[in-house]
Amino acid sequence: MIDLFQLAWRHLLHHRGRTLVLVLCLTVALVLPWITRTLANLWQDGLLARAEATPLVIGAAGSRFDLVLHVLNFQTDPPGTFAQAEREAVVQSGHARVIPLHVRFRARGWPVVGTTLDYFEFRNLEVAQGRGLIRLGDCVVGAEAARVLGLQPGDFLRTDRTGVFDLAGGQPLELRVNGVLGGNGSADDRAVFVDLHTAWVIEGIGHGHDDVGQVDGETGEGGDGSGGVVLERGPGHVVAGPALRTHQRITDDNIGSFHFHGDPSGYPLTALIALPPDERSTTLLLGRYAAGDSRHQAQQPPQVAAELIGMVARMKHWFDLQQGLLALVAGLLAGLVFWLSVRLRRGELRTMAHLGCARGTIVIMLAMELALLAALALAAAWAVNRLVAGLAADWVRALAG
Amino acid sequence: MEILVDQLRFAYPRDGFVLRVDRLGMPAGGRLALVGPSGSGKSTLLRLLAGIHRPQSGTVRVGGTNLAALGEGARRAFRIRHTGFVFQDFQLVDSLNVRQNIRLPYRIHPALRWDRAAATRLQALAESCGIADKLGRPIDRLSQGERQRVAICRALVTAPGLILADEPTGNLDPAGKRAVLELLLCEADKAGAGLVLVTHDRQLLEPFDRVIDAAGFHQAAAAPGPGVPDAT
Repeated sequence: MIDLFQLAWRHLLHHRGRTLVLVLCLTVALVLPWITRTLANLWQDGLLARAEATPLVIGAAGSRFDLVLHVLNFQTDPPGTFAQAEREAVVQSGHARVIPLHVRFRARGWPVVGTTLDYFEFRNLEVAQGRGLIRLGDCVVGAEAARVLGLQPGDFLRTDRTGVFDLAGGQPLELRVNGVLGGNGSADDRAVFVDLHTAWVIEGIGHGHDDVGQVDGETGEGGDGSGGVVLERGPGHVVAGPALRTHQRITDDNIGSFHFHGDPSGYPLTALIALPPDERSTTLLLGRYAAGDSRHQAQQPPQVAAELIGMVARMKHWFDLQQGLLALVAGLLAGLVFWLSVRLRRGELRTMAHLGCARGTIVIMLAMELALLAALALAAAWAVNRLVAGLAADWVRALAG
Repeated sequence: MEILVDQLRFAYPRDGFVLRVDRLGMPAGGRLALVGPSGSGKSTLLRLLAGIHRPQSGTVRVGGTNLAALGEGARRAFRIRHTGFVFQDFQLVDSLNVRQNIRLPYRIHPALRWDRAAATRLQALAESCGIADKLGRPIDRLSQGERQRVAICRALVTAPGLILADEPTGNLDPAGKRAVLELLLCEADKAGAGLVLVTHDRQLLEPFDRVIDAAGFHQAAAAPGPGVPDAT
């Protein structure tokens, strides 16, 4: 048998080009469904793990999938915003500890997550370099985001403008990178964390500017002629014009000038992570939103994630069918090439038969060639799958949450 | 190995060709040349002697074994064990080098066992045929004459009792033809093997004990009757 194996191997080696084409055909047929399955499993595992670690989320009414994915991966837009008063309401109900989230902005493409220090404790996030959030305007960057953006403590990171025509939107803010988190293979690696108040500054609810009380002159003109710094000064109030300089970076010198307008209970949030102490509190909290509150919703991420995975699994059947067909076509193509090559070798095989080689032996030799091709393709597909899985694992898990 | 053919009749399926040989014989170690025009059945007879084809009737005895009575597997086993075949177009395997081509019969049938004696025989044959320094060379880097020498070595490496050569000099120049023929005869003599050679070239017939014109086989088939006279 070893002799036949050597004959088969030498034949494949001698016809390297043809062998390569056949191996490529078979590898493609194997590797595409394999990688899809691997990545889908990674996504599924990542999503489920993150969901399991997030008992309950509360947000604006709308798509439950959007709300849950928003909390888990920060990439999905929330169904809407809601007033901070809801956070207070949940706390006052005594059914859960809550962690607020405000994720509406991005910094160089990475989601800016406004939250409280409780979030770091809840997710067991540890600062690998630098320090945590200390003051307004600080940020702590996830490991992957820091690596890609080349950030380290002491650097500055400017938030993205929300839109050219979004005149009411907040101005970009330069965040001071105070620390970099250690990686945990989740969406936290791909996020920029700020204090909730910093998120509201980016939103434009809070800001810092020159002290209008110190501006010289009654109605000083802006340098560019666009308007006065002080439009009106009356007893107990000053009306500032567009020339008033607002701060784009929060420093020790100007932090005192930052202040917020409006009622804090109305400040926006995009989600709450609720941490009920027991099953009863969970049930009561879910009941509270199920009955009567049409503006908010409460969801249990494990259940929603399972539902989502179930939907994806149903769609996956079609993907599997599609890829099965692709594999079949590639397999047929490889079979055709092999059959043609056997036809081209008819003389060689006839010589073997004339020398006295049994028909079954020739069949075994050809089968060995096929088996070798399949083994090579399998090895190549395994290697590609491992490579892709290794390279994409963190990315896929982070996409999942 | 002696050859004895008796009342042989063979026809290709879906073909008008019919071969009839009433009687043909060759003693062990003999030298028989088959000549005749193309299509006269020379190569067909050679294949019948090798057991590649099976006659519709009659007997083909090689070394006392009636090949016509053997099944396909047994004929193949007999062939690889007892006969060496040299083809006109060499029929070497491109993917194997010279040494591997010569060794090929040992790789494709369990009836043959590769041992020290076989390895020594391979080396001796290669030296005798002047290709000992080319054993590691790929086939496509050999001249026509060298390829035929490799084919002869492959036919002889199993120490067969009968060598069947189907126009082995057909693709060679005159000098090459004589050299290859001398080599075949010399190696057959050394091994004590019989030699049946098919050729068009009547200038090569001198060293043979017996020469048979295969045209008679076919004529006999075309005109049913007593067939070819006893050729022994």
